Amino acid sequence: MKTRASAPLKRHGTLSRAAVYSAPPSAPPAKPALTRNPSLFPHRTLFWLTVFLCVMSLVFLFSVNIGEVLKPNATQTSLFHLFRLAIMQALWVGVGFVAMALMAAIPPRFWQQSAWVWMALCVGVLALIQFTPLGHAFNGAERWIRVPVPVLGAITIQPSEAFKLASLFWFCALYALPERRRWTRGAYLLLAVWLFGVILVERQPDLGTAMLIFALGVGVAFLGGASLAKLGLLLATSVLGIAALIITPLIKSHLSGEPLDAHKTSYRVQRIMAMLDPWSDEQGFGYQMVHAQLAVGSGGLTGVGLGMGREKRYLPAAESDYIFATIAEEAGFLGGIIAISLLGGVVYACFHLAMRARTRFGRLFAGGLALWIALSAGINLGMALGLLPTVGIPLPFLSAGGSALVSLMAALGVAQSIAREA
Amino acid sequence: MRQPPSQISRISKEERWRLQVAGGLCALGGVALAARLFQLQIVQGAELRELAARRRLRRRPILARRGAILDRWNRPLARSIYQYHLALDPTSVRNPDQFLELVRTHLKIDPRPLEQAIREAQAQGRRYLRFATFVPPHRAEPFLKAYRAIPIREKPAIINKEVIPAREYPNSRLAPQVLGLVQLEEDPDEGNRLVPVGGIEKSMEARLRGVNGIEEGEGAPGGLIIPETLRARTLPVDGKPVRLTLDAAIQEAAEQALDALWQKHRPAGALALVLDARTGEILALANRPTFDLVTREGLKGQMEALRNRAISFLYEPGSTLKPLIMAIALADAQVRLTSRFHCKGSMPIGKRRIRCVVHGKGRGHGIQTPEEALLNSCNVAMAQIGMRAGLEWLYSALQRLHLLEPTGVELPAEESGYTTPPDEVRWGRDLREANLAFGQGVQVTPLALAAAYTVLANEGQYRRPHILYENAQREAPIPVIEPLYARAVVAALVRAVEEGTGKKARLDGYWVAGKTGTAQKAIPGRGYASGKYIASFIGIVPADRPRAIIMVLADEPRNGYYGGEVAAPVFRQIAQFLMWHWKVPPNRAPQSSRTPQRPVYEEFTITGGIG
Repeated sequence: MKTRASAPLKRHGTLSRAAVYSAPPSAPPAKPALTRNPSLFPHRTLFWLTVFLCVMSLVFLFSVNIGEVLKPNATQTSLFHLFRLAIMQALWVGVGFVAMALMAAIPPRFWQQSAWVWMALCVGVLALIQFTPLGHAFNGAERWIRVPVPVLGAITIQPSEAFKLASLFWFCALYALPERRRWTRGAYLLLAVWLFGVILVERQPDLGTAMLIFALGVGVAFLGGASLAKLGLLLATSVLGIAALIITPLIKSHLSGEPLDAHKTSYRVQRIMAMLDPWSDEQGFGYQMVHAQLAVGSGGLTGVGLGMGREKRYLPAAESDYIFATIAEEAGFLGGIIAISLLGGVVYACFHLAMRARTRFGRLFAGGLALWIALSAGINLGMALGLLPTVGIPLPFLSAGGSALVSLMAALGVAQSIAREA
Repeated sequence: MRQPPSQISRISKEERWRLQVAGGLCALGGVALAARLFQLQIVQGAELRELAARRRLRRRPILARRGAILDRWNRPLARSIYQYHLALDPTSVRNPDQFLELVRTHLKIDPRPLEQAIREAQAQGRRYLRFATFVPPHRAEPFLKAYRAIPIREKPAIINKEVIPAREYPNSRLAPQVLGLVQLEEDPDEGNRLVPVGGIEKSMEARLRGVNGIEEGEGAPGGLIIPETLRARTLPVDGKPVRLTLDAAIQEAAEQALDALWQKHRPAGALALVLDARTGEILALANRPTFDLVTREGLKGQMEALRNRAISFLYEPGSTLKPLIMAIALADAQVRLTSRFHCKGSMPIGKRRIRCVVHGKGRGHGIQTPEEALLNSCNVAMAQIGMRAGLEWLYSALQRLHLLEPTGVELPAEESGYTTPPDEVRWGRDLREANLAFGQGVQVTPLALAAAYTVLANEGQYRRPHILYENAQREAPIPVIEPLYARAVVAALVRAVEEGTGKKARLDGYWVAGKTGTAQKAIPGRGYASGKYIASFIGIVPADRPRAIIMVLADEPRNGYYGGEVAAPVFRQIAQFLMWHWKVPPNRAPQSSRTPQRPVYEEFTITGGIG
């Protein structure tokens, strides 16, 4: 795994298929030359980081679950409900590892070739959620598909998480093409489909995820060598567009005289206002931020101890978006740094892999995956630490939520298969 | 779009630097987050931790039990119970039929409006619905037991059982003005409490109330405090019981006797008061109009029903004052038992005339002894005593009878009797002297007047009235007159019942001493209201060995207005009950309704050399 590329690969430019498969006469001819390390998870570091993070997630979800059962207005206090979050997450972790193994077993080339199919499929499903009664609404947002499961009750699946992975695939595939063959008519068409998908996500409404997917596309384009001027222009316009999107309800309510709350997406501007001064709207939009900061601050250097956190009982979404608040409270500054380091380690490993990967698709994918994890983690942590407004982006690996975990682990599976070729 | 397969290529310089830029930015972000984490946890950590801890604190009051109010035999008149407000989580209701059936059978609540309310709450997504209020423990306990028996998936979650302190009354119509009303004051911080509105509840509030305890810590489901987080805890101190001198049985009899008067004569107000003749303890105190302490029936827009007339009703006692003035006059030798008064039916004083009401114009009572003057309730004779003794003497007599001061009974808002002091009287001294002697121009409360009768019943010693048992035991008698004169007046009052105006107060088997009063109602500053009377009767029973002083008063009665007609039958009913209740041996043969012969009561005639 650590050995450098062998002689035929040192040449620049593309190789013919024959050249790729031609091996020195001493080597056994049956083995394809691309595979350097035949194990299922060749990137050990990445694999073990994933395992650590999943275990950490189970520990803290169980802890949050204790708080859930002890909430002042808790109604479900049976033994199953004490373990519900951890059991569910353990199941998802199992599914995630299976997905990771599956993806690791499939050569990246397959994804490179079929990327556009998956991307279009995801957009189709998103459209179904939006325009048919298939979608399941919760807390005013229609983001989920509900699947009834006998023992556990209904499971909800969030297709926008799969859309992240599919977008990554497609952008990597696109930018893996040589520049002159990149922007065909078909590519523009697919770009339009992708943009439609992003808009659908935004309309759910889930601006956070939409922005993340968009940023992922832009990030891969940057890694893929898009001109900086164009990217800058694109970024500037999109920032303006998003700002307009956020501020529209404010203007509308000013013009019509209706209260701000009457608009479906007014929460965005209110959350931003709450971010700037959470203590002024402590019982309203600032509530989560205030309690997250109180939780983090309560942790101190070594934390209050596992399971001993208090603020989780007052913090909505403590198991998903705000899991880090509990980690920081119970494990303290040291625990928080460990969590950040583990995530940083994954990101670093992905960048490292990107540097070493032998195909352009592999480099782009590994770099894109690093950006995905770094962006999600950064936004989520920034929110938990009171630096960014509340957005519904889970902390990779650590937040409860099956769709995000499975799609992320699937992506890591792809990274493993890339590592096999590196 | 067909894509070529992955092609092996070396990383270009551009790819490398772009990756490095991206990685560098990520690292920068990571460092920024770590710095922010350091700031929140290490720099501001202590401050935020304290802030968070303070914000999580919940105060949970632990209710103190309000002390009971007991009668003289320690039977409860009012005691504390806890009631409950029950709340459920509407979103947890799936199949409410069984639950609603429980609510119907155990809590006696109509399930249909409740079902409707649950539906509405579900539609609004509310998670808290109070479905039963003021549930008494005898309903709440079987209900909760049956509720616990339902399997957990089939019942709504009851999420709150709020404790409401309440008063329970074995008989909620018994002496409500004495006990006083309590009102619930809901206070989630300091604890729900009962606020007294009047009566003993108010005057003894400090002893009855108790002190609520407080638990301070972090909240847990069901409004509890997590034990490990307990910061402070003070235990509640229950209120202490108050023992009254009332006797529930006598009170009941008084209430019943008053009911008859209330229905027959429909007065504006009425009162029955029973004092222990030997100690001045209040044994019963019934008021009309009245109300129900639990249902509050009778209270709607009727603040009169809250009024305790025994201490708040100032009136001119009229004839009922005469025996008291006579007793003091005898003791002070202003009058002798051998004195004689001449009544011509009226008597001129200055430009006015005072009259004897009983016989009207022309014919008077003729020549009378002091005893006969009381028997006939002769205004002229009393006026002569008053004018002979003078205003200063009359004033001091009223003072010695404790009529011009509050009695100090343990009830709130007691009025004080009043008459113009002699040094402030500018004109009409004669008229005032005459009037005061037969009970006009002075205002007293019924309780003060009844208490003054202890002087007659108790061998000339005044007993201050009490309603608090312990105070009654502590009180020493105050000698006012020689026993002899008290006995003489009682003897005259026996005759007044046997021969005079109080015939309807006579009892089989017992001697009764009593005086009727039919006073015109005074309007402050404007003389007397025509046709408005206060009918009263005050009596001592049994007269030969006094046990009780019973006073009955009716304010503006209809269908008759004489004290002997309106109040005396009520007196008789209560007195009869008392004799039976106390098992007092009768010492007199049953009488026919005819007037008895004079020798029958010779034991009351005064013998000996009083001249």
